[in-house]
Amino acid sequence: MFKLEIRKLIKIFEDLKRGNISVLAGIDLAIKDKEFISILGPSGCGKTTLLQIIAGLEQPTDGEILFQGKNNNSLDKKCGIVFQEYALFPWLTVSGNIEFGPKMRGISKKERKQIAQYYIELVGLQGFEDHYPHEISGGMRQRVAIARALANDPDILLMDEPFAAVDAQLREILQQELLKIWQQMEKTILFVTHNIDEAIFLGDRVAVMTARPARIKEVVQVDLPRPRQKEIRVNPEFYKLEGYVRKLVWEEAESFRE
Amino acid sequence: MDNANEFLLQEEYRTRLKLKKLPFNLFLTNRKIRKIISPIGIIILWEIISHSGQVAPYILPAPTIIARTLINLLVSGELLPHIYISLMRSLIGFALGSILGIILGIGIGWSKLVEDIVDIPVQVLRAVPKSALIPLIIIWLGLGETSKIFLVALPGFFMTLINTITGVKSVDILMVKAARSLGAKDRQILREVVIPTALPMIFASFRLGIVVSLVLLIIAEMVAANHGLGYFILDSQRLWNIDKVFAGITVISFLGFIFDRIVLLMEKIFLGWHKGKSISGL
Repeated sequence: MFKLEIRKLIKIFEDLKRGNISVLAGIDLAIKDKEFISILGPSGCGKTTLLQIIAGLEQPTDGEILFQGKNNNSLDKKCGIVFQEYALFPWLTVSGNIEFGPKMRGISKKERKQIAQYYIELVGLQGFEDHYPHEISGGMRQRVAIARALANDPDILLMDEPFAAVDAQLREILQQELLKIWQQMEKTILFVTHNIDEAIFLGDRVAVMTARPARIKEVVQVDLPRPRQKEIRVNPEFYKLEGYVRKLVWEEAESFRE
Repeated sequence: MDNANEFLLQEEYRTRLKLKKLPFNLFLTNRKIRKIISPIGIIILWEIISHSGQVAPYILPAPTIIARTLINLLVSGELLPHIYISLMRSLIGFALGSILGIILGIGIGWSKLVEDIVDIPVQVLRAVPKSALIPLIIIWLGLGETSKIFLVALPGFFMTLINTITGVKSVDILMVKAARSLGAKDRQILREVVIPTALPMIFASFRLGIVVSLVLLIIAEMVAANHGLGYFILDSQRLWNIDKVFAGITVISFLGFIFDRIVLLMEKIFLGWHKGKSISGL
């Protein structure tokens, strides 16, 4: 049984002025438990819409989302989201942000503090508990966003281009940390990105999306050993995969222009 | 040649250092000192004008005379009941008005249904100058405390109402989505996301509203009261005690100032994250 199964998911935004916009044209994707799957697609292809539908923040026009075999298209399945723009609450401190999910579920203050402390250490933010988001750097904010999503103990972690706004060096460090956390926490992760290198480095599989209206063009198996270190990027196997995926992406970019 | 240049440069540097030590410069670099320059200057100027003989003392009493009158009024206890009653009217009235304003503001900002039903009547009433209502309010609510409290509540209500609506509507949809994905239900989103977002706007309306509320209070007390600072000021004017008029104005201004400080203090406590920053380096 799959952890998450997306069947023929269709999303059409109704727009009276410009006519209906078809964003997702039948997405099929099955995700195994504890799998790390990268979803790779060009900008504006509907990746964010897909994630928000999975999370229950948007309603699909048609299609099904099966969670552990059951049709449950609501927020109850507890998807944690890490947004591209961090979306931290500016009026809460680092630990206040991380405690937010447990607080909503009515967990006692004492227990919340312990949970927050655990995740603060997990993402390496000791000493910044009482800082507000505007007082810390972009990379740190992204760690808070990840800790906040994890502290709610989600069944599936959805990540929407979380490292798009950080520089290349920091991005590699955060990717490495994310893999460490993923292995430690044993979560199922859907990671949306437009960065080919990132998709391959992180994922067990890479689902390449077509241009809008989006479908899954091909799912590429990444048979690189784990745990992965940065050295894997200079492995010939990595190059081969990267070349293969890049050609898939090119095809889409060209079809989009036509 | 080079040596000469260097000498000149050093000389210039020394002069600059000396300039920095001049008392006038110290005046402008120390923020505590430069903040009190203009208030002290104005008072000194006022004192000089009053003593110059160009203006009669009963038209413009000197600050020292006003201060003496004020101290006498406070020591003798003559002013205390007036201060007390004005304080109570403004506190109760403003608190009632602003609480109602916040509640209705959240309702209008949060729900299209509430907005559509109450928006037009509220907008029409808001456009009425509140002081124009005083005669009517006195007929309806009498000469007692109710009418004054009601009049003080009005500006507090409308100011907080408008700002609360704006604040609630400025909520970032991304924040709402983040909260929802973390398991927040509608009521929790209201309490944990919408209200914190609106809070800076609400506090801004407190600062604006309290001033207008005091205006209404003073007018109402001048028109229809035999206690309160507004009554005291008007009564002193009728008896040509201009120093007492100034004393009354001083006290009511001081009350307004204290209210503002209290709001600022509350802002510091509740909005620690929302720091105002200075743009220029000075």
